[in-house]
Amino acid sequence: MTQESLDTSAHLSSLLHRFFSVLIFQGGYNTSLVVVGTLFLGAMAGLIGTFALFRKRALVGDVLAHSTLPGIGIAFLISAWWGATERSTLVLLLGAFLSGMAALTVIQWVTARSRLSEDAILGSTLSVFFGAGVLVLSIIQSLGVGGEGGLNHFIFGQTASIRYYDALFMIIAMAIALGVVVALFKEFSLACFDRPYLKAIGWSDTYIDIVMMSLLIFVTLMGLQVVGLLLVIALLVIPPTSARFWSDRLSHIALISAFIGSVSGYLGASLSAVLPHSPAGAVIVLTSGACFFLSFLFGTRRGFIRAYAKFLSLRIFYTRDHFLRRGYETLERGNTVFFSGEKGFFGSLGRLIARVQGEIVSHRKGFELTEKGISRAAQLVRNHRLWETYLVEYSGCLPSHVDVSADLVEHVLSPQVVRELEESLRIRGHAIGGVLGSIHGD
Amino acid sequence: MYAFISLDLLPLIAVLCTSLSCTLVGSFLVVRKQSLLGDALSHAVLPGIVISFLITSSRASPVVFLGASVAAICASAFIEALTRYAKIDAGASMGVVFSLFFALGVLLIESASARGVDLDTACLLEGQIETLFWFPPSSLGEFFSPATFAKVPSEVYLSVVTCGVVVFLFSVSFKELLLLSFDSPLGHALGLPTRVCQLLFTAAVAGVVVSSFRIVGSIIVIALLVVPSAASRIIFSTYRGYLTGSLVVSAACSILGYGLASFGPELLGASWSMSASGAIACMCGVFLAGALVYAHFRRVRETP
Repeated sequence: MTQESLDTSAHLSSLLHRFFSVLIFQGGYNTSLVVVGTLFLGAMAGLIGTFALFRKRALVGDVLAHSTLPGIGIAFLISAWWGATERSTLVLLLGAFLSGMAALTVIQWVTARSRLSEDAILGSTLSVFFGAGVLVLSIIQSLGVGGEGGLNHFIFGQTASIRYYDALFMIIAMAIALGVVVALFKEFSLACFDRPYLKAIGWSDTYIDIVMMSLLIFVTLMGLQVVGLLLVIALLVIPPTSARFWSDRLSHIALISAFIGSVSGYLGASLSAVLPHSPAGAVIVLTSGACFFLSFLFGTRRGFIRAYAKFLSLRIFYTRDHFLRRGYETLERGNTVFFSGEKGFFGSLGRLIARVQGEIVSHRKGFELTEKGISRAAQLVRNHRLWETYLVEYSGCLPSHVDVSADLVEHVLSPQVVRELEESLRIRGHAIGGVLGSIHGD
Repeated sequence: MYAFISLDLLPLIAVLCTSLSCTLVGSFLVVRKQSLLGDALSHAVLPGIVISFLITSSRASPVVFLGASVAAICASAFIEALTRYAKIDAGASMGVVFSLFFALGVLLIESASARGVDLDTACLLEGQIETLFWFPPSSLGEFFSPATFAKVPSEVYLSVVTCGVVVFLFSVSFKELLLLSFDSPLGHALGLPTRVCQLLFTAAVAGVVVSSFRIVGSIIVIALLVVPSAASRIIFSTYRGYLTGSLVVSAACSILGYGLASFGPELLGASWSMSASGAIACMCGVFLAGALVYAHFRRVRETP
């Protein structure tokens, strides 16, 4: 080993060592505070973000974050005018809260009273409020009152500025938000999915919306200090969309999303504490992006790999079924030996499966159905023809077109549907023997 | 007069051209319910700019333009893919993609500045309208010589060319765009390649966003894409009226906003100044509020 590579590996191992010590909260007092604070922030944002996503308000968080800027600027101006030398974060956050509320009110008011679509309202509110913020900031800069450098932290985030009280505040806020969400879980899910029912059981849907949106503002304000106003949206949107790949149940999605949010906050803050020149906000967001990518690939509900495997298996069994049916139709014509009509990769895979399951045997000139294969093929042919009959009799399909539609549908028929079809056809006076004759002929 | 030509004429031309191209594209974004695409793309170009800057270490317009366009096109392809194949809500997939792109850009800037490379992030936000001054010859005879026009900053040419290209493209494909926006299935049935048109339109949006925000900053781009069209949409019911209205509103916003920023503080005798981009965005807000109030009173008057 050369000296240089020794150095690199020593550097790497010391980085890893420091990373693990940060992970178990041994990386110094301030770092631990930041890590704990972002962990709770991530969980809270993931939780609220889930409801925002299903309420189709995913981008409201972005609008809110952008529209806090004029409030921050005005609060800064007022506190400078009063002669306060120390810029209190609390005053600036109060300003941010007020202008966020103003933006929300504008959105609600205009949505209810104009014919503009929601996206146009969101886009307009975002740009006008943010433009006003830029205007106020430019005035502040030209006034030269001093201390305005701190304002940029709200745009790009400044995790290192988290103090003991900020972290404590985040944990308490998280506890309160968690309490509200648990208490109103049913109402929140109804507000997302079934508003008439929500009203029927005596809640005002506007009221529930206001509670939900206030929690959103709350998270946005917490997020401003950590990741900055341009990236708050990532904390609110990425965890729930990732969770969507894992489950279809709202309660599970909310839990998974809070988990993903907290993990990316925890890992991201730790990583940025260890790596030099890595702003925490961006690292946290990129960590949650990695979670998103993993969920997209491996998600057990809508993940890419699962969906693709499902598609492949459907396609293989589809080819196998066609293959067996061809065998049966050959049998009906009095021959036993038939050839494969399905070519290519899927065709050979389908044949392989049929052979492994003992439904066909290879023959010198082609293939031959076994006993097991015959009974399975009879069932398939029967389904196909039942469905053809149904399509011609009851849905007005042309006999010349019916084969294709039946082909498309028969593979997804459940046994129960087949029984019901048989029943309904029998009631209407069709004789159903062992196997129906094909309608379109061969 | 000379002071006006030297200090304010070129910024005004750049802003007006930008507002024209942004509003033309934006009017279709608003009726297609994609208003937030401009916001998403203007965030997503950041990594492209930083990477092209780090590779070539040049601030020259073409390089940055190329990098930003590549990033914008990648981002819109990702958004489209997530919406279509992963069946994620359009707004959410936009949020996921642009925030990830932006985070990557911020990380790259930070690590670049550690190595002594300086990229001004505020410039991306607010643009550089105020720096577009020009020193033309004072006599009219020398005015029309090539040397005079060579001194015009390249950003102004970029905005004029963008505007010309956008106007040309839109006048050529106006009917198709209208069909695509209001009845895409009919367009498909008539044999219009809707997927390709969709992609071309997104590319046009990306091009306008990229070329404009270098000049005027991302905040004006977002505002001019959406707000004038939204204001005009409230008042007009025909497409012709809507388009004319939004162009007029956007030109008025740019002129009034720019005027407010450059002459307002002076007239008030104040020592502070303000950003022209912010003022233009605020002016758009004033027009939108005016349109809302007008529509409200019209409704009140019309209901017996």
